Amino acid sequence: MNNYIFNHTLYILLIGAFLLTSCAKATLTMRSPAEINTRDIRNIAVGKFEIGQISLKYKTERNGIWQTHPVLLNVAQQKSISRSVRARVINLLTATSYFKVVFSDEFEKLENDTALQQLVSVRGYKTLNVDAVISGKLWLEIERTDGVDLSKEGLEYFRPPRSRRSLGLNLTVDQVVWWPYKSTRGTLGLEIKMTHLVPAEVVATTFETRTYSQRIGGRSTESFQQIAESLTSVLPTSKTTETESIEKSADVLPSFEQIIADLALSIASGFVRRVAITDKTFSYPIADGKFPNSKILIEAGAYDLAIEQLQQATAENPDPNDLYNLGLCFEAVGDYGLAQTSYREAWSAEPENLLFAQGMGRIERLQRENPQLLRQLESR
Amino acid sequence: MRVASTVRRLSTDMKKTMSVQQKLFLPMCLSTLVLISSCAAPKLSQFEVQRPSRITVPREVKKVFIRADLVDETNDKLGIKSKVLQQLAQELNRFERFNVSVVNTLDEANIDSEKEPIAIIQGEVISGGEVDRGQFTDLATCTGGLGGRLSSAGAAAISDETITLDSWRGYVCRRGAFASNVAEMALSSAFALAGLNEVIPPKNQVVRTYKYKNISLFAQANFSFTVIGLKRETLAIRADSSSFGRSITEKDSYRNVKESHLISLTLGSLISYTRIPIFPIPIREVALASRSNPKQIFYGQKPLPVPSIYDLPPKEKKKVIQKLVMLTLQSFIRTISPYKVMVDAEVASGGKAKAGDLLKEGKSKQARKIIEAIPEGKRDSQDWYNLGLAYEASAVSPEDYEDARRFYITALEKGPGTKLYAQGVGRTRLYLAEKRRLAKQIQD
Repeated sequence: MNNYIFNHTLYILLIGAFLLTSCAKATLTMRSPAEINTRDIRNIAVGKFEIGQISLKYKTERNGIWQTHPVLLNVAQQKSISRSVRARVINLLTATSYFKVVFSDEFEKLENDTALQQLVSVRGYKTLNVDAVISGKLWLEIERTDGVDLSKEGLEYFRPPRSRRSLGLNLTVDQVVWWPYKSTRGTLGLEIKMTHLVPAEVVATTFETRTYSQRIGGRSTESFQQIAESLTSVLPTSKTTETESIEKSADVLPSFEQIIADLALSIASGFVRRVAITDKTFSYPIADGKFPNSKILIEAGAYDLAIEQLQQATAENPDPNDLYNLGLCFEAVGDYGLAQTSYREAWSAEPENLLFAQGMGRIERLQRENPQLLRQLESR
Repeated sequence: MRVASTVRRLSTDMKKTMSVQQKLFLPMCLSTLVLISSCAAPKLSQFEVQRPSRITVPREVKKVFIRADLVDETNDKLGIKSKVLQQLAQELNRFERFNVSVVNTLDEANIDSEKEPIAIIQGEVISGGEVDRGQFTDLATCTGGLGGRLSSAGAAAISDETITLDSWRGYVCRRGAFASNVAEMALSSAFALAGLNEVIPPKNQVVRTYKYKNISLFAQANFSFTVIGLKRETLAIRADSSSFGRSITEKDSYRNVKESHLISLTLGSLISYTRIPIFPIPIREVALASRSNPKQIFYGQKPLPVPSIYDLPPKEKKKVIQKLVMLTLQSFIRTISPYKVMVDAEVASGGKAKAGDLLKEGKSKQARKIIEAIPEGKRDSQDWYNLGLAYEASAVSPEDYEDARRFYITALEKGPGTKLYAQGVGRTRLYLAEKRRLAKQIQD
């Protein structure tokens, strides 16, 4: 019973702590540089996505006997999958202002990568306003399994004492129990090439794989997740890697079409991160400054006005919390030099404050890790 | 005797700790409520605002033809192509930027595209769905005693969970282990306090099986937007999808396949000698719960069936598909056409103009007139905020957003520390930043 009270108190305190900490946060969008140098490339076209292999199958297991039933796809269905993956890459490429995507079907008509390489290697080849072409090749394997786990369970029987004289009874009986499960596992491998047209050269080649796995029912979902995670990179769930859903249930396995869509979206976002400057969103705490409006302005994303007002306020009264908030605003609008100055001023006034030190650390890391960001931005 | 007195003492202790717990519980709940209310967002009103398209389509392009003949339907297993195209035309026409029609064919030779450029939409519709049936096993705990039965049923009703009755004394069986369930513990304790149940109720664990039916639906649209004018140019390609998934447990299919009590009966002679209430007596593998072994195989040679009227009622299916189509088309529409979107923003109540109600009714132009009729010096902070909202709601250009932002800032100056006004400044800032980026892209 004491444990019970302790648990309740703990839950309530945790909820309280969570609510307190989740109250005032600034949502910042930061730019991440491209991993591959694509500074000379502005206009890109997207060519064909060739099919390496597509395999879809249903598997069943009963009493140790496995059966596999392949799902056969015709050429039109295979081409449709290829077009979907291509369109997902285009979606994300057009979402970044780093490239201008030229929708020319000149390259999509080419049957495969060899044809593309032959075309661009012709001396003096020039197409209208296209600096580079992105083409790809995909391998896809998705399987659905209907199987059964077997485990020993201890079933309890408890009878309390019926009277003061009688004793109760508490038994545990071991039972072997069958636990049916369904699972799905999908892997998409995508090779993407970025070919510069003049001079004709392959600028970037990447091969990325994503695996999605989910299981429903069975004895232990946890052990399955551990196995899946140790074997592969399980598809991360984020806004950019999941299809929109009007109703969702963790107990429903996604259809083949949905897995293909999710995997393609995830892999495309990975590729775009490598070749283009992309935006990422982070949440950082806001300090309790003296200037009354700063917290609500930062929370609401009104950074310009907050900067204007905080600069005036800190010139008259340099409160370290206000200085930190000013740094946060500069960080949010991408002015990292001024952000660093503000964080440093705040930290000098309160060297023990972790929040201020974290602000400085973030900017230092940005400046250290991403020197190419500036060069990439300058090229635009 | 010693054991019986221990049980009595335990019962008294429980009552004491319960009263302590009740005393602590109320202030803790109240403080949590205060925290929640201080943190929770205020009740918002929704109103429609216009947003610019992601790409800028040349002004001269007014007529858009959705080429049904050029929209591939090979993988449209749900047969939703015509619905998708009609919905696309309807939505685009609603935003009034284009005059859109769905055509089965288009003779481009008959169109004087130099005089009047047109645009065509083509692509592909992919859809699918499946009904995945199967059987699962779970472990349940059946609780006896009056309090135990009521609390089990109460806890099950709270969590909308299926309950079964055991075959022995009609104990209520629900998923999970007795000791680990906080809700059931709390209810049992409450009944115990009320004198309904002096001690912990008896329990009997069971293995249960049940059938389920999982329904999933999927829709995807890959569309391109090509302008045919002096030259032919594709301005946008998008692929967007949406999904629906629902798991339905067939509640009538629940079966208790193995009950620990029944096993204990077969061991009667053994039990009579070892009646110890606290420590469990482990009985090694007595039997196989063979009825939990599913006889049926649920995946075969054929793909899983598409949901029929027996799986999802026609009315609901229609509604779900309608929503799927809308969600699938949303991004494509926003890419090519200025669109209207519902924005969560609170209308300021009060002010001299009392324009809040007009804004809630969507009459932003009327609200603007009324507020602007009041001399600037006499306007309250609420009036300035509502004026900003009116400008934002009817904005057609970045200048309108600049004005809205200016009015929000004035409201904030007049009413410092008002979160609502700051949110207006933040919202318009975000939009203007996007717009500037867009203008830069176009300029480049």
